[in-house]
Amino acid sequence: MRTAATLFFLLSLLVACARPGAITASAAWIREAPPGAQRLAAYLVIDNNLSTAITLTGVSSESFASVQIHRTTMHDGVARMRMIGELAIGPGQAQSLNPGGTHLMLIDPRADFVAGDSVRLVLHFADQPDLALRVPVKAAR
Amino acid sequence: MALVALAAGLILARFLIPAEQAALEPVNATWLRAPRPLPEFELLSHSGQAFSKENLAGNWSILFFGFANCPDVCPTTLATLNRVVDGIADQGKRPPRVIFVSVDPMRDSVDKLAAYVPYFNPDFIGLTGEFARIQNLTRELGVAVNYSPIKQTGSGQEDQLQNYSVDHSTTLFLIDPDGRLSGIFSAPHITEQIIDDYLIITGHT
Repeated sequence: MRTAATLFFLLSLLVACARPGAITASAAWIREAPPGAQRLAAYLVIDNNLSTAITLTGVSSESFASVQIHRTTMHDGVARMRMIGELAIGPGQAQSLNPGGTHLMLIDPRADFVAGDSVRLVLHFADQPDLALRVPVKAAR
Repeated sequence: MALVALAAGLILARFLIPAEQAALEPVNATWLRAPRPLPEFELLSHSGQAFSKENLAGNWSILFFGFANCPDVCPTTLATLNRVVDGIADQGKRPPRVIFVSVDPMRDSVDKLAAYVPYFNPDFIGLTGEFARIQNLTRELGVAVNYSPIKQTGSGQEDQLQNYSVDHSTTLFLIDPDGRLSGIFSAPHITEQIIDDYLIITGHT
């Protein structure tokens, strides 16, 4: 019985590893911008289910003039937001993009996006296919 | 033996100090027992009215410095302050006035703040003005402000001029009804902690 359970466990592990679409994005959302703000932030979790490291090299969207990968860091109570060129994610690792940390900065929206809208983002990786996703806009206030 | 006596003394002291008295210290905020008067300043509110130190009289206020094009830290903090104000009102207490002071007056006009600040709460007040006047406040409060360009590919010079981020302190400053700095809340800003410490500090006066 125990052998069967172990076998089942190992088999399910194998199936999980062999799953296509080995880079996945989840929990993605865009913070609704207050009126007049021309910079928005998107947050998500990127899972690298591959056995090799991946690198997020950029993000594009028809809904914004440009999208940049940014990181907010705190130094002695001072928040600094800087563009980071790319984001590496190790094999089997996940990278969370959260408020107050790494995020996607969405620059100059082409329309006023409000809670309930959704926006298409395309994640570009080095040596891996693009990953397109629809990201809901949510109010957080 | 001395250690045992010390330990016994400490345990005894915990029972002897009344609970209310022990609870009167803020947990995370810094409480200035000798509040520090703010310097005079003259700015514009988001409704276009002059706003100076005199406008702080009669209310507790929380000052936060930021800029409207800040997509991450500023909206997160203003949303937290909205929950703080609601939480204090829910306890039947008078909430502070929340005042957002722009450290980016080049982009944050009165009109822009009029659209931006009330989004979080219609009672919040946005202030802007000449940078030198804002500096009267930031210098006195030790608010660091540093402009940093954001690289952008394929954009014109005008875009480059508009494209910068502002490094700024995320500290919240509690101002008493006499316009004096009475408390300092440092990041990370946790709604419940700010509410508790606000009630403790304001309860002292």
